[in-house]
Amino acid sequence: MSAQQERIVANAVVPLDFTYNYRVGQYVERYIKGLGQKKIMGVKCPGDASVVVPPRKYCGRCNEIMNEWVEVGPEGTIENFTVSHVNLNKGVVEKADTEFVVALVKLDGATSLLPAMVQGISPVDVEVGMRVKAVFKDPAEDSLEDLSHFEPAG
Amino acid sequence: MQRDIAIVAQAQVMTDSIDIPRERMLFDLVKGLFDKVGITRHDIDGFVLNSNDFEVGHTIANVFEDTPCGAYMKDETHVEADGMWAAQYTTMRLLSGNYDTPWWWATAPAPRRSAPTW
Repeated sequence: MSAQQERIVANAVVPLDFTYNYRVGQYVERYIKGLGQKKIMGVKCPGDASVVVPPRKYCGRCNEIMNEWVEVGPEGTIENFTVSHVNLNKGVVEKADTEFVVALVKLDGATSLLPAMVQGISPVDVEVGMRVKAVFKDPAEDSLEDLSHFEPAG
Repeated sequence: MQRDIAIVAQAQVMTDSIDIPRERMLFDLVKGLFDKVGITRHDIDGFVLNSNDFEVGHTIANVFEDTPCGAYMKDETHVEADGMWAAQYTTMRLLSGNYDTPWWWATAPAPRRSAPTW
């Protein structure tokens, strides 16, 4: 190492604290408005009949515009899940107060999987194939958070 | 390596409406060309996309473009620069011998409108 060079031995933790404001577009806007009415809306592809949630305009496989709106859920089946023990707070990983379940839910009538939190059940009792139902925020806030989480059905 | 190549089709699409997102323009352009030539996206063996982060307003400017242009799960690459670079990139792919039917998509700067996502 030459005299001009210095080893960098210090670390700096810089929390990411910023707001990214972007236009969600017509399809997700309609999806969010549906959540406010406690409805989960998806779109169906005219080509392969897949129903995707949240809605997308284009079907990649078929190269078609998906323009048939269908209501799915509010119940569904857990296809896979993981248990998280940490929270991400402004870019910094923090230990969570209690562990929580993030699951991939196949809503009734949909062919895609929706990642969502599952609450109201101990993580050790969650199983693949379990039936869950959506819980909505009331009153609605016109945001993706209006679909708050899922809880065991029945 | 020398190869004889042909430009099969070209088109352009423009709009002054803020309500028509670039992804819709891209879909109409590419699907229109496919229909005009009588091919599908499966006849293309390599996609070269070109768009500009500054114009689009976010990094990885093509992140929502591969689907409307038919490149979903296909051999697809992206140039974040000007369209001429993408054209040369496409040419290099042809010269490599590994591609016979590349598709090249380029955007011209359009400072009069920002670009919403789909």
